[in-house]
Amino acid sequence: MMPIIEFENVSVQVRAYTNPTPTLKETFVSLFAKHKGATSYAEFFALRDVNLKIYEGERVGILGLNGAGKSTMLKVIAGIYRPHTGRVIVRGEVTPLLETRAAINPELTGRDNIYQYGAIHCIPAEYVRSKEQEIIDFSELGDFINVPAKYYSTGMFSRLVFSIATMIDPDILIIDEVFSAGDSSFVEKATNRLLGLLDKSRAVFFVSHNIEQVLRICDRILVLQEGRVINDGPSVEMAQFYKENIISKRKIGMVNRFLVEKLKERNG
Amino acid sequence: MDWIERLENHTVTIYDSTTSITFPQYLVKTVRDILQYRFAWSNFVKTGLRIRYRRSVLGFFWSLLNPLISLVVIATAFSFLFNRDIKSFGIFLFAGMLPYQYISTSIQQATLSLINAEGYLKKVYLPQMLFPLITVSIETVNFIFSLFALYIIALFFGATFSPTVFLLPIVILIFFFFNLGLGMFLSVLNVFFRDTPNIVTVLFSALFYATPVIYTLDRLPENLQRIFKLNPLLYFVKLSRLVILGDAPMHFWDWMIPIIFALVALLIGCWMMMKSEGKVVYRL
Repeated sequence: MMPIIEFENVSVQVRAYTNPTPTLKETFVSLFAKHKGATSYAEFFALRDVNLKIYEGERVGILGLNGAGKSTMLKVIAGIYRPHTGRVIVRGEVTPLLETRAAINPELTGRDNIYQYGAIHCIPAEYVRSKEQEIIDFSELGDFINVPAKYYSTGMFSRLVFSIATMIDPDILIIDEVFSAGDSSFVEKATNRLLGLLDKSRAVFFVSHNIEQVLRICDRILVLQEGRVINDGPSVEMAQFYKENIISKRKIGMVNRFLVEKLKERNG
Repeated sequence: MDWIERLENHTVTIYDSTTSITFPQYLVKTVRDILQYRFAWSNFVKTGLRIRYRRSVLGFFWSLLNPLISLVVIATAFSFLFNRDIKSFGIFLFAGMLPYQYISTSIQQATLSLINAEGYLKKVYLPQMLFPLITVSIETVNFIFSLFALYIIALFFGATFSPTVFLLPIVILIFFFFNLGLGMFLSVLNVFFRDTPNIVTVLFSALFYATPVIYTLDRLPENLQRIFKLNPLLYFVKLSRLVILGDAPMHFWDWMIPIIFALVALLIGCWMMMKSEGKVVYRL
């Protein structure tokens, strides 16, 4: 059987800028300066030589500390980040439920955002139209659907995002954290819908800090540390491994270490 | 939901660092991307136009009023300075200034398009050339409306109707590709080098006087004319004037020079897009 998702020696290099936008003067000065202040950045690997095969029906959880590369991995699968080396093959359509504020234009009304989301994801307009009322009902926005999203409360905003992002039945579902949905009645509704989506999709990728949540949903877990997959296997064993080897030792992630070094440098 | 089932048998190779794509292949891919994302394109253009004038009292009317007011101001000032009849000078000015402003605002806005799209580029996959394309399309729609409205006003003030105006769609298409090409190039440049918009703005405010918009080329001394002829915008303004006013015979090169510039700009823009693909998102 062909794997649905394949990673072959995938590395992603990320630049962290201390000054992300050097101006002309700064660039010019730094050409001659010994200490490259203006364009100073550090390159580190967000993912390092990852090899991976995900087969149909698998529900894969990713555990790791902040900066371990969990979100980067999801973004590579979604096609947002292109790896610097290696090969990624995805056989199917990815439905990414990444950050909660995903691609919502606050200037547009809720209704316009429904159509914009559809257009961005190449969903035919007729299909979006057939789902429109269902999305509005599910989000419980009522007349607010015709108000620009920037006037929404936090709860209304996340209800809208959740309702829009879950309008299509996913093929490969990738989820980064749980959608924070305002009031408790909606959380329950949202969780039920999410569980329904999990059953419909051919493969699931799930990232969360919450071990219990990952255990409940996933049957396989990858443990990430500093961009490497350091362990991969059945969920119960992996959760145990993660608790014992990572959480208890709690190393500072790559990004944090980089920032600490920079701060030391700046303070002399 | 047949469209999802159709996709299920589809293999998508997202990235393979061992194979690279040639420039002609990239051009084909770009055309395919535009076709695939045509609904996103039209959606962004529609909402972009709507957001621009939302909550302003005069709304879309501003796209007519804005150039009209600046035309009246410049026409009054310079007809006084050059001692020319304000009506005929106004008509002459309209036929050159509006196309000039179309190029200048399109390119300036397109320069910002990629960094303004950070929110989208970091959260969903979208072909990056879509954003300069959207920006230039919005400016084009605006230009067509204001051109049409001001043309009617110009006719009212005594401009002679010339059947050459029916060639305008072709002229606008040439302008569009020129703007798109430079816009794609500059939008990528801006991601890596954030001084770009400032340089572009300064350049266009200088070019306004270096391009024969408020004067004609033959008013300049011979040796200066030769230098001014190096400015590509001169040929665009000249072509649009010829077509709108129809007051002089058209020659083969009046069309060919802008077409060549547009094609070169488009190729440079696409090349820049190809070189930066997969890198832009890391630099936003």
